[in-house]
Parts: sequence; structure tokens; C-alpha cells
Amino acid sequence: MVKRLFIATFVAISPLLAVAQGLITGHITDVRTGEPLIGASVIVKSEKGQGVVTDIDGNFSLQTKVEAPLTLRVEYVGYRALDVDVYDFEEPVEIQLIDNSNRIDEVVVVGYGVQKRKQLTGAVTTVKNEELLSTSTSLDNILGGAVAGLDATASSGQPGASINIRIRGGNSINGGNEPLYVIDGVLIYNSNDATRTGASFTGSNFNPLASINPSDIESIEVLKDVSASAIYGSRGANGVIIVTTKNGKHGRINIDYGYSIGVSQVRKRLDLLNAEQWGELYLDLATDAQKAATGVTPELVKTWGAGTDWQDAFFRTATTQQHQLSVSGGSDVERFLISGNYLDQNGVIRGTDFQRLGARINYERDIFKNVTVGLKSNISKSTQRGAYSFGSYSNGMSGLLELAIRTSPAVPIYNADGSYNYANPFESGDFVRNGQTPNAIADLSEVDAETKVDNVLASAFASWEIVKGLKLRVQGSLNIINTRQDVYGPSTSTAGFNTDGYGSIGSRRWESDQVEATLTWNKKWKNIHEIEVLGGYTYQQEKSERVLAAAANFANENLSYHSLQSGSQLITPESEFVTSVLYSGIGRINYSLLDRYHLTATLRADGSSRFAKNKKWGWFPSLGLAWNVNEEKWLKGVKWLEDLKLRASIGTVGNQEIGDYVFLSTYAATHYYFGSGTKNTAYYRSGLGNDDLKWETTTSYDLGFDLSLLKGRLSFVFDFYHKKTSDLLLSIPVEQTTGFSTQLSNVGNVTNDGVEFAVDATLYQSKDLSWSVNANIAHNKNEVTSIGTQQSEIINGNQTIIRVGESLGTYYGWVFDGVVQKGDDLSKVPSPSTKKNVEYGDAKYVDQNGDGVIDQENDRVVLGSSQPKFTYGFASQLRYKSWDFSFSFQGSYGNKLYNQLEQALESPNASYNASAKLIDRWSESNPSTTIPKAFALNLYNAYLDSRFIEDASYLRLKNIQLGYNFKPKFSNGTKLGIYLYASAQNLLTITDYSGYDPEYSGYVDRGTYPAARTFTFGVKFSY
Amino acid sequence: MKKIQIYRTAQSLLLGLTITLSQVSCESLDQGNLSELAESNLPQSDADAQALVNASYANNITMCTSFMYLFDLTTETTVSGENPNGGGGMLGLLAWDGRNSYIVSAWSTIYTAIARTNDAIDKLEKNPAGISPAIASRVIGEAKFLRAYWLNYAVQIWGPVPIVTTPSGGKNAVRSSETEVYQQIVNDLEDAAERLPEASEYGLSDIGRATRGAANAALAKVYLTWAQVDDDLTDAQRKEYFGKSVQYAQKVIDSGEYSLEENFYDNWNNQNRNGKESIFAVQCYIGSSINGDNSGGNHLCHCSFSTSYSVSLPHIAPGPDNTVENSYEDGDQRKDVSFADSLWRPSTQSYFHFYFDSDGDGVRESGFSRYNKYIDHDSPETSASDRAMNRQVIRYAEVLLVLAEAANERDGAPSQAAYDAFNKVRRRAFREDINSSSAQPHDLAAGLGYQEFKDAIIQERSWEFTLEQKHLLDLKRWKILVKSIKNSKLATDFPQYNKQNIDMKHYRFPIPQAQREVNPNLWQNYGYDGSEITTNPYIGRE
Repeated sequence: MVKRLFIATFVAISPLLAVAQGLITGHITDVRTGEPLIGASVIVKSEKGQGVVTDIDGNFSLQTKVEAPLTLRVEYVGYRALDVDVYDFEEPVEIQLIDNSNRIDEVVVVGYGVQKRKQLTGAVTTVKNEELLSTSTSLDNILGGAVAGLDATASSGQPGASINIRIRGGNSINGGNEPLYVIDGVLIYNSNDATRTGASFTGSNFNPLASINPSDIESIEVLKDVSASAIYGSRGANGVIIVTTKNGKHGRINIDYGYSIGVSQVRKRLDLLNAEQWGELYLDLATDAQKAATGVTPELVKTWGAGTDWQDAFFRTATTQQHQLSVSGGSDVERFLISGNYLDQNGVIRGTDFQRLGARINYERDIFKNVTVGLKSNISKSTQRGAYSFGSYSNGMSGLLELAIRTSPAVPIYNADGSYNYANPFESGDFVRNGQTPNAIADLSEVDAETKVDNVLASAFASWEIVKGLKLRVQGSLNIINTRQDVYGPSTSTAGFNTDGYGSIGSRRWESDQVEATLTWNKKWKNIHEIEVLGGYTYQQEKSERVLAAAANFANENLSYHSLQSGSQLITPESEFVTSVLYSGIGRINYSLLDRYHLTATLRADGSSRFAKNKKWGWFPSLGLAWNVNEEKWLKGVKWLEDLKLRASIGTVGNQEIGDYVFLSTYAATHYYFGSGTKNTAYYRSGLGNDDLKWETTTSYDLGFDLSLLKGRLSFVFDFYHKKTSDLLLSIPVEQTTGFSTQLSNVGNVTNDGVEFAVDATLYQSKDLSWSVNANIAHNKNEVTSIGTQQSEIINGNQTIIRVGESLGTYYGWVFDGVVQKGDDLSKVPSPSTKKNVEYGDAKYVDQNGDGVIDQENDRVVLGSSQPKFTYGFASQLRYKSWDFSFSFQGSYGNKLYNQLEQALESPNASYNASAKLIDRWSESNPSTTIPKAFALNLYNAYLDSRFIEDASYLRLKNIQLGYNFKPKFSNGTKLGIYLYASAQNLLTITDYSGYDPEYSGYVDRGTYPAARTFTFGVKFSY
Repeated sequence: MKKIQIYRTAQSLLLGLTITLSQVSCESLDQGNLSELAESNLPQSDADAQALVNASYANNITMCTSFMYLFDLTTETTVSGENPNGGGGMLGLLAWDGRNSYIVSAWSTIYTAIARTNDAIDKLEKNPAGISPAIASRVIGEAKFLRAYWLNYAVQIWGPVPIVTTPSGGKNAVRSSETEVYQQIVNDLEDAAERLPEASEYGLSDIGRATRGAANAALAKVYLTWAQVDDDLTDAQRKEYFGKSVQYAQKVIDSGEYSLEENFYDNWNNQNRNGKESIFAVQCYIGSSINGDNSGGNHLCHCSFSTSYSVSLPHIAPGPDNTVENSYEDGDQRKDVSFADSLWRPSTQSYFHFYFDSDGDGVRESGFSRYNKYIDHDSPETSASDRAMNRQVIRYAEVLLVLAEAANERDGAPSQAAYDAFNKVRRRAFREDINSSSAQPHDLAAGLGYQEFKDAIIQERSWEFTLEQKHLLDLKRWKILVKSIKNSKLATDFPQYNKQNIDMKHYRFPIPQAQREVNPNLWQNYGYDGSEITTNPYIGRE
């Protein structure tokens, strides 16, 4: 929990003797930062209506008729109000205010409004780490490890790549599992699909949220339970993340400029064979014909030495630079923020980078006393380059990373003349053509693969307080994501290899229009009853238009994708239009009795075009209760107890991320050729429809308490929850004799049960020194409880199984049982069904059903799950005078990951390099019990084997930062704040996982783009 | 008064807002898919009608290799260089089960293709507006030809299989007897033969569609096979069906539409697609692939030459025993068209040897030849990635051999007509005068009895149809499956290929296990997991 925790516990008062009356002067500052507070109001308590506000230096002077001693009442938004006793008017009064973050009367952003934290019935965590937000390049650095029950993992270490976020575990098998984002009131389901164009070989890994500049963010609220998320109805099931961007404050103009430069490297390298070691392996494996063809002899191998380090050539030391400039300010009637940012981030794999140029204008004005209008807008363009994926027929290679590190170290990258070497004599199969082979390092610079995204996110609102307590708010918003993906693979590259060059341009224009109107009424009766009623209507439409063009076989490759017409082989263009609409009615009642018994009842009705004709509308109710126990009379006297609130909620939410038109039966187009190669259109029914298809339903309850002790210096949050997701969208197998294999239906259940615990502590707080720590830990148990009546398990290829009673992401495979040693009775060793003749040195597997044969059908067992047992994080902030120091850790425990790259590296063949572990492979003289002997046609590498299901628990020092803040005094009185900092991301990772990186959102690690370790230096100027 | 005004203002504003919002939100909750056609939009034109049946032709693209894996790799002629634990590898090692990917996808593709024909027939039989009756009838003919074509593969793979003839059919499907299935096939083919034009009557742009000749040729082969495999037929029926086989083969011959290519290679020459010998072929052009790889989609090209000019074993290759390759008589042009132990390499202007000859005496010590039929000789270096050659399904040579075989079966001895048909194939092989009335040097010895003639056909077909997705089916209909494979050189000398494991159960492939779970009516074939048949039903076949 990386919350701002500085809670002042002392109040500076200047108790002086009373000698005069008349003019009181003073100076008001923030207790923590020492910054003057502009616009704070000061009144004399006993003198009605006589008040002033502080000027831009935080000074005030107040004329009064009251004689000393008197009491001043000081109030300022976001700070605790303070009563100051003044005994003497001669000396200026120094007043320090304490900001009220994490305070019970703090205001929290919730769906379609704000609420006092005290009255909140839901489980909501606020992330408000200004330092991290202003220095990070992406959101995952901020969220990872910061919120109990929120698991943020990267899908790839590529700059600009998406992060996967799971709030309280995953609910869905085929639908979306990502939370709903609400950015300044605009609802966004963050999906890579919005930026996918279908262009082959692109990374397809662009995160639409990467368009948002983290330093523009004021706060992030994570809505975890149903009381908080039910107001989002059919989109609330996976939790909600509300992002609020900054606006100016009343007072003087602030100008902030920040610059940072970072240096990144890969955290680790894998240990591979060098050329001579690989040569010996090759001699073991290659057939006589192969050896004759390549001319490799034992004598030659001895001369090879270390050979080429392809891995080293693949990675690089990369730099990242960031500029950020913002101007903000405001007056009595308006507030604004204008910001611009530029990020240039190079990836640790050569040829990969990410750039973002963005601008924001946030503006708000009170046009009448009771009417406010405003705009929040963000425009950005981003470019992501490099590290493309392979198409089909890639010789079993998953991508460039694997091809690079598995290319034989006996093969040089460059020819003697410095050109790329396209002749790898050991390459085989799909990657040999015209006597030429691709070169993974050449691909990094020769292949163009670019994703360019323009993103406009803007919302305008008007709010009108019709009568006191009755407020109408109307907001219209627009989100346009324009993506263009360009690819060119020259004929020497893996991308253009088979087709003499391949060029492709894809474009997608994704648009979401949203209109909402809410009416809020609140009223308070004599401090006994307080009620707030919210009613509203929203409408959202999404449109997505895609076009894709491609060509192959380029006579001249100089023009790259800029001249697809140069390709002699034209590939069928594709276009697509997808639209969806969502109408919703929302309602919420917040009721507080005696300001200590709270009730929140919400209801949302969603009508979605994604639901089939019989299920167009879904209703999503929830109820939340909270009780401020500490305010009961019998606890009033307990001084150490600052706050104790019990919370309970129950309700139902949905997941409408089931795809568009999936309920329809339509005719799709394909082609067949007649005549002398003339393309003819063919239409076929593309699926069985389902008139009852609807959202996935999640019903859950949450019990929790918030406890705060010692005037808020120590606080705890605890939650226990149960979620049951039903109506899971599954493809139910149907009789293929009908012409179809599956039909989508709402069947199946998944449950998530968990506990979350968070603690914040201010260990010390004074003007010069403060030290706080916070930590959180969450346990979630995910279980599939039904996958329909017809089946009890679904096996996904050779990797995972969805089985009733197990969690999602359960691995399923053979159990490795050592190596057959000389002296073993070969006839008693269970043999794989395809290899009757077991030999010494072969891998052994556990024969689960004891039939003497190892097969896929009967001998696979559950080998663990990719779901962590615990996720946790802890962080600390230390401030001493002008210095500050902070760090944050993120951890995950008990999660497994299938290290398929390692399996590939331990399955040697005569073409590719292998793991250095194979030096210790079984032989008669080296009876290894862990590494079987090498043989060319490895029988097992296609199947999941328990050796490669690794424990991917990790503890990662996500961020560590040291900063220094100083304020040089200029002769003309200009006040400039300068902040210098040095930080490191992913500095330390403790894990047993043997691959590049244990933090990976997928099930199978086949050489994912590794996360980088980055050192950053930065400076911020504020005026 | 003031209060009332405020309320009125508020009311009118709310009303205005509601109207504004309802104008903004004009989209209905019923959003149709605008990138795919709805059922109600099809068919509206002749082009639509043809597009409906084209979809069933398209299923052929993905099946090019599947049929090779199922019918060639499973026999004593062929081995695989791919991972033996994959679906293809397992088929080759005779380790078949109901989850094998090729068996599973064959079932699903065949019934998907049948559903597409049913949809086309159903829609066109309703005489929809906008479609000319001639086109409607022809398209129905094509659809019935294809329905029979797919069902014919199904019955030969699994034996009794469900018959589905309506768009809504296929639920709770039961396995109809072989007799019923073959009856359905011949009914469809006979109707198709009525409706379809001869090849020469098609416009140039329709070459590749099913023809009357294709339907008749298929009838000849189906009647022959039916009479050979269906244990429920009476001897009289068998004789009748052998006779029908001869009749239909004769119809194809008499049509004058087809003749043998003088150059055997011209059957796979891309400059001679749909040549005079080709009766029905799967059309594979660059762009045909429906796997999104922009190739022609004929993976016979990929699998037989995937390792290109290298000594690494491709996905499929003739076995190391080279039995078939070595068995050709001298002068048979089919040997070098079917097999390549060396291949001319344009980029180096030299021959590349696939075998390993350490002492250089020209005799291979180890290594394999390549199947040469599906290497594109216009562009051998890119053949494996282009995959743009037609797969020959029915060639005129087969019609001749079917006639010879069926006549021999019907009459119990080879007639002159049987000899004549047979010898045409031999004469072409040795580049002799095909239509000469006088005897040619390589003509089959005269005066053979039934069995000797049959043996000659068995031998001739193995030379003629190497890698043409027929061999396993031939062994089954001749009822020599187990003994042929068990006694082969590949089985006896190269046990790692597991061919010695051939068993009576291999007369049928297993029904896909997952389909049996969805539909318990689908009983499993003898010898496979889940089968309730305890006594070997194929006993006495060999």
C-alpha cells in the first residue's frame, strides 16, 4: 500500500501572552512539506463573518475587534480544520495544517460521485502516490504490489506492452478478466483488441492505457467489492479502477517541469552451450548424412571455442528519456491544468522502442454560482516498434527471442565483410529456402514492425445545482483510438522468408461515445438522518472499423510497406465493422443514521447489444452496510481507538466482455479457386446461434473492517470475500454431424474465495523526520465448480486443464521420474506408447494407471496452478529534512509457470542450441539422474513434463528511490523548488524460477520479452 | 411563486434533456453483424448459389494432407520425419486412438463439408427468386456430388457412419450400416450425374467444378468398393455392382472427355493443371489456403519437401527400405515422377543427393528418397512454402484400372476389355502407343486367371498411385491389409516404425472419442478404447 501516510500528530501553536487587540498576522504552511498554503480561510471563532484567506505566500492578516486571547478557525480543502488559540497579536502566528489523506473524513471517488470514506460501505482502496506517479512511465509500476487483492503482471516486458490486472482472482474462462477502467468518468474496457488490426508479425501487444501519462493522474481508486462496483452493472464483475486526473487549485499558478533519463538492461541471461560444447552435442545427435552435409568433424569442433553469443547480440543496454511539463492554477471560479509529455523508451531487445507524445487540457469553470462546466481531455500519439511475433510454420520457434538464443553458437552473425550471415548450415525444415536461412539478429533491424496509435480521450460536463441539495450532472465523452500497424519483412527475414518479402498494413479505428446524466439529491435532518439519492441514465456506443491489406513477393524491396502494389502476390484484403451499444439506468441510495450506521443500495439495469434477443436486459443490485463502531458511546472513551468500521456487502454484477455478435448465426466468407486460378467467393454458416446468450454473472459478498489506532498512526484494513461466477460463457461441444463443433452457452461456475489484509503505520513523524511503512497481503482461492452438465474437464492442448475442483490455469502433464540407469530392468520401465524400446539414459515418467505404458490419456496429472496462493507488497517512505527515500516490493507466492523455453532448450536436436545443463546429460560415464541422454528425435518435448512446471514465486524490489528537495532563494524572491532523484526499477528479484522473468501473465513462458532492470535519474522543477 | 418557477424550469430542462438524449441514443439494442451475412440475405443471385456450394469445395484444401496422413503414412510405403508423438506421427506408428488430431479433424471437416452441401441443396430446392433454374440444378448436382464424395471418405475411414442430408439434421445421429451409406452415396452421385455438365460444357472460369464425368468415375469406384467391402451384400448384388462399376467406367471412357497424358509427369505439371487425364482435382493456387498462410494450401507439397534441399527428413518420405521405388521395371517413367533420390537444384545448377553415399560408389548407404509428385518443378526451392499444386483425386488412369478390376471381379476372369483398359495404363508408363491395336512390349502377359490378374492390378496400382491417398483404402478393400503391411520390408527390417504392429482393428479408424461423449449413439469400432465389440468382426477377411 503506497498511500500517503504522513499524518501529523502534533500541532504547532504559538501560545503567547495576550497584550493587544487589532491586527493578527500569520503564516500557514503544510506541516509535511513546509509549502505555504494559498487560499486557506481564517476566521475568528467568536466573531461571525469576519474572515480572510491567505495570499500566495500563505500569509494572512486579519483585523478583529475581539480581544486576546481568542481562537482562530483555520480551514483548507484537503486538510484538517484547526482551532488555534492566540494570546498575543504582536508576533505573526505560525500555523501548520495537516493534510487529511487517509483520514476518516477524506473524500473518496466512487462510481458516479464521491463519498466520505467514513460512510463508505464498499471495499475501496485509494492509490495516491505522488512521487511514483510523477516518475513512472506506466501504470503497472504504480499498481503492482500496492493494493491488497490486486495482482498486476506484465504480459511482456516490451515498452508499451499491456499489463494484466486481476482483482480478487479471475472469474471468466473465455470472457474478459480485466477490470473496468473509469478515466475521468469515461468507461473503458482496456483490451488489446482495440489496437489490433490483424496485421501479421506485429507484436499485438499495445496497451491502450499506455497513452495516459501517469504524472497527470491525481488518484486511482480500486473498487473491489460488489457494493462499490455494482453501479457499473454488467461491467463490474472484474472490479473497477477509477482514474482521476489532476486539475489546478485555487491560488497561484504552478509550473512543473520534470526530466528523467534511465538506463535499462535485462535482469538475467540464460546459461547456454558455447560453440565447442554444442559441437559435441551435435556430433552425438546428427546423422551421418547430416554430418557429411555440414562437414562437422570432432577435430573441427575442437577449434570452435566459445563461438557466437547470440543471446548477447539480441539484448542491449537501452535508454529511456522523459520530459513532462505542466501548468496549473485557478481562481475563485476556475481551475485548469495544461500538460505535455514526451517519452522515448528503448527496449532491452535491439530494435524495440516506444514513444509517446501527449498533451492534456483540464479546465473547469463556475459559470454561475450554481453551474459549473468543465473539460478533461487528453490527446496522445504513441509508436511501438519491433519484436514481432512469428506466423505459422516457424520450425517450432515461438518467436525471435527463441530463434536467436537457439541459433547454433557455431554460426556467426556477420560475414567477414560485415553483412549479415544468411547461411546457417544447421538450420532445417521451414527455415531453409533457396539455400538461405534467416538470421534473428538481422530480423531485429531489417524487419519493420510498427504500431502507431493516436488516442483522444475527452469528456465535457456541466453540473447544475438546481436547488440546494439537488444536483444535475451531464457528461458527454469521446474516446477515439486510431491504430495503424505497418509491417515489412524482407525476403531474408523470418517474416518475408517464405514469400519473397511480405508487407502488410492494418488500420483500426475504435471509437466509444458516451453520454450520461445523473441527478443527485442529498439532505440531512438534524444530524440524525442523512440521505443521498442518485438516479441516472447512460448510453455508450462502441464502433470499431478495421481494414487490412497485404502483399507478398516483392521484386524490389526498397519501398517496404509503402508500396504494397509492388508485391506480385496480392493477399485478400479484409475489412470489418463491429458496433455495440449499451443503455443503462442507474440508481443508488446512501443513507446514514446518526452518522454511524450507513447503508448503500445500488441498482443498475444494462441493456446491451451483445446479449441475445431473449436476454437483452440485465439487472444488477447490491447492498452495502457499514457501522462506525468507535462512535458508539461505550467506545467513546477509548483514546487509542481512532476509528473502527465494520463493513458488509452483497450483490450481483456482470461481465459483458463476451464478444460482439457471438449469439448470432451468420454466413462468413471464404474462397475457392476455379478456372485458371480465379478466386471464387464461398459462403458458409459460421456458427450455431444462441438466442439466450448473456453476460456472465458474479454474485459476491464481502465482510471487512477498517481499524485505525493511535490517532491514525496505525491502521488496518481487513476483508473476507466470496465470489461465485455463474453463467460462464463456454463453448459446449455439440455433435459435429450437425456441421458445427461447439455452441457458446452460459454454463459453468467459478468461485473465488479470499482474504485481504493491509496495514499502514507511521512509525515516526516530525517536522524533520518521518517514516512510514505499509504492507498488504491477499490470498485468493480460485476453483472451477462446474463446466456444464456434459463434461467435467476441458483439456487445452498439451498444457492446461479446466477441471471441476481445480483452479483456472491448472497445468496437466506427465510426472518426471528420473532417468533409466544401467542395471535397471528395461522391461519393467513403463514406456511411452510410441517408443517401445526403452533405453538407458531415457527419461522415466510415472505410470499413473500402472498399465506399463506412458500415454497422454491415462498418465497425466495436475501439476499445479499458475494462480498464486498469496500476493503481497510492502513499501516504506522515509523523509529526513530535504531528503526522501522510498522503496516498494511486490511479491507473489505459490504460483507455477510452465517454462517451455527451458523445455525447448533441454530437448536437443542437430539444428539448435541448447541449455548448458546438457553438458551434464546422461551418458554411460556420467549417469545423471536429472538430465536424460540426448537423442535427435526427442519423443517427449511436445508434452508437458513436471520438470518444466517451475515455482514462479517471487519477491521483487519494484521501485527504490532516493530524492533531494531544495529551494534556492533568489534575490528577487522567486521561489523555485528543485527535486533531484535517483531510482531503480526491478533492481532485485528473488525467485527460484529459471527463466528470464517469473512475473508473467500467461500460462506458458516460451521466451517472453523479459522485464528490464532500469536505473533512472531525474530532476523536477516546480515554481 | 419563486419555488414554482424553479420547479417549472427544472421540469422543462429535464424534458429537453430527455429528448436530446433519446435523439443521441438512436441505436437499437439489436445490432446485427455488419461484416457477415444473415441467413435471410442468402441466396439472392446465381453467384450466391454457387458461393454456397463453393464452401464445401473449400473444405478440400485442409484435407489434402490429412488424407495423406490417413491413407499413405499408415501403410508400409511411407514414414514420417516429424515428432512421432504428434497426431501424424502416431498414425504412422499405427498407434491410433479416438483423440488423434487427424482422425478428429477428418470427422469434423467431413461433416462440416456435408452440412454445407445440405444447406446449399435445401436452399436451392426451394427455388429461391433471382436464381436461374439451370444454375440451381447444377449447383444441386455439385452439392450432391460433394456430399457423396465426403460421405464416401467417411465410410471408408470408419465403416458405418451417420448419414445427414438436411441442414437441421445430425442431432442424435446414429451410425447407418455400410449398405445404407453406400446406397446414399450412389443415389447422390446418380442424381449428380444427371444434373452436371460434362467437363467440356463448363466455361473456362468453372474448370475444377464437379462434372458428369467425375460423378460417373466416382460411381465406378464406389460400386467396385461397395461390392468388395460390404459383408451384407449377396453374391448377386456384388455381381450387379461390379457390373455397374464397369458400366460407369465405360461411360467415362465413352464420353471422350478424357485421355491419358503421354507424360506421366504432366499430371503434376503446374503448366498443365486440369489436363486431359484429370477428372477431379483439388484446386490449389497461391492464395487458396484457408489457414491464413497465403500459400496454395496443399500440404502434400509442404510435407513431402519441407526440408527442401537438405538431408533432414521431411514430414513424409518413402521408407528407408525403398521397396516401391526399387520395384519399378526399367523404363517405367512413373519411377522418377514418383520418387527422387536426387533432385536438380536450380540455384546451384547441380543435382542434390538426398541419400548418403560415404564411399562415393553411387549406392546409398543410408538416407531416404523424396516423394517427387508434389514437388513443384517450376519452382522446387519454394515448393514447400508455395504448396500450390492441385491434388489429383480421380485420374483417367484410375477409371481404366477400375474397369479392369471390376470386370475381373464380375466375370471371375479378365476379359479383353479388362486387358485393354489395363494395358493402356502400362503402355503410357513405358511411353508406348497407348491406343495401338497391336500388342506392345510391356503389355500384361495374356491368359492370366482371376487371381493373377488381380495381383497385377494390385502391383500396378502401387506403381501408378504412389502418394495419391489411396493405398490404405486399396489394402482394405482387397482385404490384404494386415498381411501386406506385416510382411513388408519396412515392418521386418525397420522395427522403429512400428509397422509390425498392424492388426485387424486397423481395418477401421476409431470414432473420435469426444464425439462419442457428446453422442452416445456413436458406438466405437472394434479394438479401440470404449468399444463394446468383443469378437473380431473382421475375422476371415484375410
